[in-house]
Amino acid sequence: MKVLLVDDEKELVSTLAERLSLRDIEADWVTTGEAAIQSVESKTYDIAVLDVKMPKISGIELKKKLEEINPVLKYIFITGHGSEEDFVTASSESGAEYYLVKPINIDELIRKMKEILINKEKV
Amino acid sequence: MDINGENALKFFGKMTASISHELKNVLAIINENAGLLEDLCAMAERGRPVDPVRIKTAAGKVIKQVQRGDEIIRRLNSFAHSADESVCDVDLCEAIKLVSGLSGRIALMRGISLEPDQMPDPVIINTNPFLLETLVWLFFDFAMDAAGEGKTVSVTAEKRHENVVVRFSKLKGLAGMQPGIFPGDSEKSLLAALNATTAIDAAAGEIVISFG
Repeated sequence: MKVLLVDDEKELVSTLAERLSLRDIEADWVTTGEAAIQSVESKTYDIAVLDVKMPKISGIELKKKLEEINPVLKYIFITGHGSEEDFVTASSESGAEYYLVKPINIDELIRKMKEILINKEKV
Repeated sequence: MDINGENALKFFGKMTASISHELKNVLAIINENAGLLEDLCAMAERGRPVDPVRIKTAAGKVIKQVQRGDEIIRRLNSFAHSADESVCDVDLCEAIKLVSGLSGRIALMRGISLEPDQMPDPVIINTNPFLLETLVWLFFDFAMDAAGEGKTVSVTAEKRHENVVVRFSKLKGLAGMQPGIFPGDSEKSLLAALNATTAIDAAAGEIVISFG
């Protein structure tokens, strides 16, 4: 499984990538939308984990751009919103099927990643 | 509720929402690094070698985020206490630094750098502290839109003759904005309540609030 983590909080994504690698998941990380676009242009990922609120470009806008580059890429959104309920309401237009509220539970994140891959294979 | 009360409440909501987001990020980083320390302990328990540098780095990141969280909460506490008194002596420099700090994440999201000057000497006025902070925020909010390609808002407070002034500068996009759109009704009402006036020099990229 190849995963791209995108969040403007460098210490969050770098540590999360390190933890995923300890679980044998290949995870790259970037801190800007521009870098995420470059990464997806140059490498094939299965899943992009996007922060909803980032400088210059939101995770929701970034998803639209990344979809043009890699139409089969799947997404998990992460957010600092107070509750999952708030986030579901706020992100309904993004078409996000998978989301997590910070602080992230890594087991939950991996469970969702596996769920995405299983669904992808079914399709 | 009058327009000033409404603006103050909106300001309060905007700032506390931004602070809660920032604190969530602090907690998320602490959570990941605590999790990493657990992972490394589990590795060691299984007999796999663990580089002490990894442990030290993770612990260092936790300490850094605790300091960041402490600073955010210190600001939040100052902000909350600014509603304690309706009128008191306020150091404009401190008020600017506080609002700038509170607005930091909002500015970051808009790609703007807020740059309060050093302002080593206090500039004291007797006023309503919460309405003053609300006014400074509304001017910051507009100044961020007016920052233009410079993407920077510089701000300072100083004594000038009989008055004290707050000056927003480096607003490179100000000259290209439609004249008359600022100040709006919200700013005008707060300026009146605080016995202040404003002047815009679009060519110089400056907005000045004068109290006195």
